Amino acid sequence: MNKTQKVAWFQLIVIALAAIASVINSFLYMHKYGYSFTKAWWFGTIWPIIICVFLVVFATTFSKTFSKFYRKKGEILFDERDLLIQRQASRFGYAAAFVFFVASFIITSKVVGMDTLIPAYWLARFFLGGWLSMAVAHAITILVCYKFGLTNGKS
Amino acid sequence: MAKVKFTNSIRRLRFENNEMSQQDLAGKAGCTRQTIIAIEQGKYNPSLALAFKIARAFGKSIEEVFCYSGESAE
Repeated sequence: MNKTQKVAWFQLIVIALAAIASVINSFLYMHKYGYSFTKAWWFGTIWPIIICVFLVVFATTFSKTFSKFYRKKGEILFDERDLLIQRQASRFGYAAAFVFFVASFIITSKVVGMDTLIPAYWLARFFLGGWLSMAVAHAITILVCYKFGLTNGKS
Repeated sequence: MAKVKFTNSIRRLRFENNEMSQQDLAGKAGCTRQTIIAIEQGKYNPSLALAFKIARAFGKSIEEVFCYSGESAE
């Protein structure tokens, strides 16, 4: 397993743990403090998501620096195949984020109506949701491409 | 959909060259060991530049290492 795969697994595990922590936190706010569902969801998810974003961005940014410490002399850790897989993963990530934004805007307009104002914090939620969709799609594409191969050279 | 089929003799050539390890070949070709494994297993078709480097690592021409066997319907 190379550096890119390890980072992808780390991303998926952190996002999954953040999702579980968010649900538990929200239930605690609802049952312990008697918050409404919307308020409990807002307070319950904010810290797990912020920690998740920090950890994922930190791991992605500094993985290259960390890999220098355990690299054997002259060993190549990144080549054309890794670059192709990362490009493919980025494409899928952006596609997932785009689909999330379009779907969330359509669903919101259908649910609350076209002439209704929505709270400003929903925008932060849309942004974080889009970012999470992108991170999940990016990580899954990396793992699938390394496991089953790329589609280059096949038409 | 047609699927382009490439085959290669990297595994055989490695054993004919003093049982060269995948890591050694990767070092000579300038790629990672995982890429050599993927090429051997047919999971990845290398770029022309990498194909030339692999062929040169064995002292062979590119056609002695890689073979294009046409397209198969999928």
